[in-house]
Amino acid sequence: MTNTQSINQTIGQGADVISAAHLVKIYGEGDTQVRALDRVNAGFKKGTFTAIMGPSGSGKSTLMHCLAGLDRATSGQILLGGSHLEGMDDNALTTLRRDHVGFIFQSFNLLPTHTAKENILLPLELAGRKVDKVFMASLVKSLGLTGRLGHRPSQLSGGEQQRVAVVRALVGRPAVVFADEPTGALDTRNSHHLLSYLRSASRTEGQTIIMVTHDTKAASYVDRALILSDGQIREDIPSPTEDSVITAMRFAGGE
Amino acid sequence: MSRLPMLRVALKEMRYHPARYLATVISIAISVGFLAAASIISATESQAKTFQAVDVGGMDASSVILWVFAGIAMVTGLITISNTFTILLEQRRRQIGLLRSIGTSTTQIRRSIWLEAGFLGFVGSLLGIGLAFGLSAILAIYTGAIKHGLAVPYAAINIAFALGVVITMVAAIAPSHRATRVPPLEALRPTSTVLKITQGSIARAAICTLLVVVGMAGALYSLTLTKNALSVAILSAMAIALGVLFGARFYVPSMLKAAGWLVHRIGPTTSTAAKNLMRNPARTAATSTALMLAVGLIITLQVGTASMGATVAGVLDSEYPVELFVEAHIDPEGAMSLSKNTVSRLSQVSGIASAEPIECRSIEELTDRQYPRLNRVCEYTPQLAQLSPGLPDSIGDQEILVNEYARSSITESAITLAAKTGLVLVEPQASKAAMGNYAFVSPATYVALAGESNRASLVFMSLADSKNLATVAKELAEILKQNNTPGDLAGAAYQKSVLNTATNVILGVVTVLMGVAIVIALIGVGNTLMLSVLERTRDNATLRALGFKRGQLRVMLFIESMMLSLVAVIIGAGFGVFFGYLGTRAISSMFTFGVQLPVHIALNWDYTLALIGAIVVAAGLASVLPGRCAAKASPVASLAEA
Repeated sequence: MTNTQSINQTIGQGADVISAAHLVKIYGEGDTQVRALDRVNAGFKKGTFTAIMGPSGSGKSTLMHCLAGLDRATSGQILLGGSHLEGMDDNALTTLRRDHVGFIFQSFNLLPTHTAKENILLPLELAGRKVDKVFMASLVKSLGLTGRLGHRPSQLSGGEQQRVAVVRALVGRPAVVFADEPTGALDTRNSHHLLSYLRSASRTEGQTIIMVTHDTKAASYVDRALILSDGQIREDIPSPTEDSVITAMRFAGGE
Repeated sequence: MSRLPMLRVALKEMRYHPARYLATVISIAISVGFLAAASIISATESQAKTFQAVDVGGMDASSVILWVFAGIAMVTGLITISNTFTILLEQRRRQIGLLRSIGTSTTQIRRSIWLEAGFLGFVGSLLGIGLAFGLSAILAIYTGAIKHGLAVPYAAINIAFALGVVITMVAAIAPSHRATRVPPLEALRPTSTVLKITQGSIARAAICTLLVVVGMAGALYSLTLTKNALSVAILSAMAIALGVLFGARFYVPSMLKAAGWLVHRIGPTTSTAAKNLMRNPARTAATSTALMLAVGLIITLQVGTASMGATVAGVLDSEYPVELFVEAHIDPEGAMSLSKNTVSRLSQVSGIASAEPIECRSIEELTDRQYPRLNRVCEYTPQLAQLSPGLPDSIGDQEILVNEYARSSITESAITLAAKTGLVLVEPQASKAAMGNYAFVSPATYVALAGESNRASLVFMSLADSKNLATVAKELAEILKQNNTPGDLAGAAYQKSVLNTATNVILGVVTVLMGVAIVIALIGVGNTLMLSVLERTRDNATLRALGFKRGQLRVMLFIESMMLSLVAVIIGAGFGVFFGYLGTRAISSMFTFGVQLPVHIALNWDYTLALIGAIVVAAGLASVLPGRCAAKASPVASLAEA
């Protein structure tokens, strides 16, 4: 009881759109047990663009999976858009993702059988929500996808596919957009465009974005970088630069 | 390295993923089991010599028919096994690529795939024969033939076994060629989820079109024939069927597209399901082919049987004057008569509206012919007209009613009959009232004729309601037995009820036997869905991440199964009705003497709807396993690199 209260105090601070407290994730059992997250506490304010960084195996992907309701934490609490994720059943988690979370994936993950437009509208259709046509048109125009919406993913370039995925993630104005190595499959020019776009989306639209990446260049676009290693947050860098992140990463990796 | 590298891979696969082989082995087992069961049952029954009563309804189970059906089940099995092999090998693409890149030759790979097929065929056949013995034992216990033991027709069982192995290996040929044609590096790449637009070759399209066109022409031609109508109709139907089955990939995708367009507004689950079916059009088409074949055959047989029944029923209606009548037997004194008591008891049977006894005598036609054209002449009383709408109100005194066939054989304008005093000249008129050897004259004429009169040689009856005819007939037969000389029960309604029972039995047997082929085809549907689930792991995970609930994924697979099955059912049933019509037309035209019989096309709705219902249920079941598999996938997998 007291434990819960203290956690609620921790997560309740400020205007966090999403927050985690004492988050632990353990994979496997016995000898092969791996502690992927080790009592992580983190909060993310509305309209912020955060990068979660760290070496391979640091737990950054696991943290994202748990925060997004894709995977369950072993213990600890997560508050997303006012609801506690722990104890939710699969259907409730699915509905939560559908209604409050947007995703941008490294390999785009557009459905090959759907056109760009159908891909964009799918989550809204699932929720039975009406699309904000004006907003969608502005997203499509600003991402240079005008005239490409009737195409299937196989008829689009990689950059275009990722921009379609961005529209899909933003169009429903979710509480949080999670981006998992969004630039991993893009060239430098497309990476720059994408990251600039995400930054402006967080500033002008107040869109909260959490991005997992190991690309240190991405650091200069975000408001804040969390450096993870061995399942723990080692550094919380406000207004990071490429250099500050590289230093922090070296520090975290060197342990 | 073993000389048969793939076999080793395959054996490992079998150990770790036995479920993948399930569909193949079950298909083989059912095909072989059916064949073996057919031979064991017939051998056991003939050994027990209780054969006439294996009441699968008076149908001789030892007949060729069972083997024919078993053969059809084998063909469906062949298509399904071939599909399951394609899928097995597709799952092993990477291994094949790896083996190719380290220097295994395509021949080596192919040879080991065939060995593997032989092994699977062996296991499946063994299972099938075990199944056959079990099934036969149950049936033999049911019929009582078991008391002489199960007969083991070694030759037939060996043939069934060998066929199982051979068919499996044959089924593996095309898939093994396709699998080894993949260049090594291509195979090592992750399976692209990019839409594969597989187009059939132009040659294939041309041949299929030609087959259908020639078949259609032949079918139309068969309608004008009388003599060889059936063989032309069968050949045409086969040409059309081949064209339709092998051309499935040209039209099934478009049909699915149209179906998808029809249902896409229902919701994202439905529209996504419809789109999934378009992912690999060639495979979708191949899967539907087996079901199409099974449904097409079964509907052809159903329509053919029901239509032949209806056509013959139509003939019976025009052949018999009344729904039900009794014809007295000839007693030792040469008389043909039912007692007054019998007649009154007949009329009291519930379900009989009225029973009119008819007085008849032997005809004495004065002619120099060796064989009399007419046999017996009867009195046409006014009451008879009440019994059936087709009967005349009365007959003129100068007329004699004969049946149509007799009328056509009489060339003179009048015939001469011996009377008590002198002769009577009567004009023959064709009428429905007269059947077989019976002719009718007016009461006045009848009295004047020579010869001893038998009262109640015939009793014409009308029915109050034709529903419980079987029980009415039983009661009537009981009464007739108690008469001095019994009588025969006949009539349009009676013959029709006998015919109905027979057609229903045939329909039932056909439906059950062909049901085996449908089961095999639906295993194929489940198998294809399973493969698509495996291929679409990442897409399904993406759907889960974006908000598809587990239940929605299961529903999606269910809809895919339904759409795929329904398209096959529509095509199969459509052609089945057409072929059934062709066959009925052809058969009835062979029994025509100058005039074409009026052909009635009929469907036995009970059986047809039961069949379609069973297919829908089974298609739903076929989606259960793939649906569970899809729903189990973790959404986290969508984030993993492809």
